[in-house]
Amino acid sequence: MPSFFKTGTKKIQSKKESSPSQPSTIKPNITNLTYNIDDNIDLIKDCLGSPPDLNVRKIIIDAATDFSVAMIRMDGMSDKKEVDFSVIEPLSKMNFEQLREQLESPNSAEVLGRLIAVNKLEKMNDVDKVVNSILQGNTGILFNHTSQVFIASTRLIDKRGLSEPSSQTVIRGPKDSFTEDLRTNTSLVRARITNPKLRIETLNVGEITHTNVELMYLNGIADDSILQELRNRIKKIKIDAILESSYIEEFIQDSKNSIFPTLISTERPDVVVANLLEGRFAIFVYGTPYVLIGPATFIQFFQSPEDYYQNYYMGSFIRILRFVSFFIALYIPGLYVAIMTHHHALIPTTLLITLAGQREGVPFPIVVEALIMELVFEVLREAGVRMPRAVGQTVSIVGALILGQAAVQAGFVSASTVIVVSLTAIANFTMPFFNVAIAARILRFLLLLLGSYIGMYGIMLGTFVILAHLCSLRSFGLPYFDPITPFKLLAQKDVFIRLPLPKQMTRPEPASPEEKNRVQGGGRNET
Amino acid sequence: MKKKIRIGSLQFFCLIFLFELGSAVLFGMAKEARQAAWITIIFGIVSGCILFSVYLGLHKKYPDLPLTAYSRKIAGKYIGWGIGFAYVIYFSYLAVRVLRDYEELLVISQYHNTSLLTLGLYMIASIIYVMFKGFEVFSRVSQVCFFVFLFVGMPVIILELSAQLLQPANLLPVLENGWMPVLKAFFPSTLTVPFGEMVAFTMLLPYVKDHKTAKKIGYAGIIVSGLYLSFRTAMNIAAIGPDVRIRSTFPILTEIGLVEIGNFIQRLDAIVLVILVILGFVKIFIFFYCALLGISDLFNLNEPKKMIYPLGILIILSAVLVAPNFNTHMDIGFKIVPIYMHLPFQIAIPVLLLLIAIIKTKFKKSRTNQST
Repeated sequence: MPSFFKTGTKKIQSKKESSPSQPSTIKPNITNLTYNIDDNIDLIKDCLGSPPDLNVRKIIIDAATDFSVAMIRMDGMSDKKEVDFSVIEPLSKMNFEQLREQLESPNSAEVLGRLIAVNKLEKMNDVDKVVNSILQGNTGILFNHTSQVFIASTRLIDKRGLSEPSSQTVIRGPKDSFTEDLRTNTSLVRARITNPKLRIETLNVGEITHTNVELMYLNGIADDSILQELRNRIKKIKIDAILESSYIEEFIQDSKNSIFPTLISTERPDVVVANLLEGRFAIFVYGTPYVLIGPATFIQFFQSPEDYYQNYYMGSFIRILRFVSFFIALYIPGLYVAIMTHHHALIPTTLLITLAGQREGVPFPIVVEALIMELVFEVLREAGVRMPRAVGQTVSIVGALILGQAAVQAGFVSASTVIVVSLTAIANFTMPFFNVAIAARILRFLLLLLGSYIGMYGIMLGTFVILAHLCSLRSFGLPYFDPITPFKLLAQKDVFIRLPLPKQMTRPEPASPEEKNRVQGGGRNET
Repeated sequence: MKKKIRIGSLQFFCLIFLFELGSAVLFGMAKEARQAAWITIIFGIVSGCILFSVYLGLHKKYPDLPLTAYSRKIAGKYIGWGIGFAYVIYFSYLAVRVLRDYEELLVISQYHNTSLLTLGLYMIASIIYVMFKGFEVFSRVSQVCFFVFLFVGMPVIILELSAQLLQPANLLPVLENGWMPVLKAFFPSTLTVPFGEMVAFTMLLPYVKDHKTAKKIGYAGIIVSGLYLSFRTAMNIAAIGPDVRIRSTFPILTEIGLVEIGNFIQRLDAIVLVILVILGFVKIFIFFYCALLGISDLFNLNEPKKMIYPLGILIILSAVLVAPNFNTHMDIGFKIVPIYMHLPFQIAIPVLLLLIAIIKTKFKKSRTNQST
């Protein structure tokens, strides 16, 4: 995997130079389907390198006229039962005389379709397309004396059932989450929006993996110029494989080297639905439960779906709490170090004496102490994610007891530093979308160092830099700090506090201007 | 500056507000007027509006050009260029002075052992970062800063009130020694700092949407910030009295230092320092940026951003070299700069330019009338 990241683009370039457009697997001597069934089978086998999971079933129907039929499919990718009952069984019982006559006629697919009971039957004679269809799990039906191949859609891949979201949980609200299967994911959204305006477009990304990427939006409500920009950006992606939606994210986001996310990723269908209704788009990628949503603003990363499912007093309170937590996660270690190093006078005298008493005998300067504890916590956290379930207990005991309590008792670190670090850690977990918490996780080291070096002044200047960076970001043309700066008074109803839903009758910025009102005549009862 | 920069009206207001507060809050205004200082500031608002109308008059004639560009159109190619260059030096010098002010503030209040150079370096480094992001980003940042200012500044006022710090008797008697001290404090120091410093906005007015918004928001900005300053000064006098105020270098810190509630909320200096750093940041940025704009305009630079580093380094070094110590710095600032720099650059040259421009257009009109 790591080597892939480095050489991915190079590989594609070198491949392009050697063989433009033609897939390298096809041998140059036989490139087209012939009228001989055995040649065709061999050709397809050659293309795929006769893998063990390729299932070829050949039936000789009439030995006299050498009329035979063959079914080719990938085992494990296709529905075995459906192939047995809907394809093989009718074919073995058919009236072959009539069929043979019509095989070369243009409506042969219809004739065959009357026999074979699958929901989609296509006819093709391009070997690349046939191989691709078989790779997707469809069954190729070949007859002797014809170069046409019939493709019956029999795709069936084992997938996991719906489960509860693992990273974005709520107390009140829907408990289903996306899975790895693209169609299941789109159906979860479609089931929630029964409206013909919901549109899905398919795009194919990844020169080797051919991953299905689907773009979903509400026609008319989403801004067309943003959608066009999105399509262009996705088409421009040059990569060999798409394994997760983050691959797409890295290619299409406006600022490639920002630490802050400019697209939301969620595993909750209700979040996708809410965002589609606000005129945003969603990008579904096969093989991952995380769906991308954009354009996103900074404020959105603090909006949990639960804010809307609870009483709006509670929703607003929790949202403000989240902003405070973000502030704590970002600033408290830096402020703690700055105050303890440079601004003792800020602390009330009694508290200062307590803190100084704790620090007595601690051998390190306070920066080193804080840095060590922050790093130890990061290590513990990473270990907590990676470790096998069975040893989970050990890590938490070692982390909490030995590193926490024993370190304080041994006099390596002061208790106040441990408190500050754990407060930071806990505050970091309140973010509903973890990718904005990552920004706070990394930037707090910067602020910690600044704070230790020149105190609050340094932290202030660091804040200016972070703020300028945030203000310069855009997500698909939308300013990242949208309703705050540039300031929009009407949009403040859903920023720091959430007003009751009857007051929220207009859509926020990215929605197309003609569809500003959520319901017809809705904007009027808004104050 | 190929891409057209546009700043919104609220952002423009925030810029003016924070800019005007800049050094004025720091050093306390019109100390010599004693308890009538707040009246002096009201005078300042009026004169500031009059001065701003001069700048607006120039802006109306050349809505798309900064001062350095239209000085060439009005006063001719060579003299105009000279005037423009003088303004570049003036703006850079003001950036240097404000930077030094804030460096001294930090050294005196919190960082007794830190060198001026270090403090200046960090300030200019962050300003340079923001400057590379562009003026639009800066105006957005200053808008957020304005909210922070409200969010932090208002509670401080409430805390002062609840700490029972204010003694209205300190403000009495009104006009103890007649109008003379008020006028003396007004001219030239209150007139020029901060109200005359709006001359920097002659460089920035082209970024505002149209002349009408510039006029409306500009006056609103001056009046609101002036009233705030007047109110804050009155509070300052009520809290510490006119005598302490004259003797103290940073009256605002003296005032805040007195706040103590329930033995827990005390020493709010650092919080006020946060606000002061915001104000300093905005003010230094604007002067720095005006100088940069002037240079890129006078020398026709395609890439004005290339000049950011040299100019920044120049400002850092000059801030240390501009005066050997704080007292000399203050002396120059209060005695020499207002008369020999602020008066000509803020009043004389703009007024002259406007007069010439008006006469020129009249002359042209009469000539066209004659010819037809």
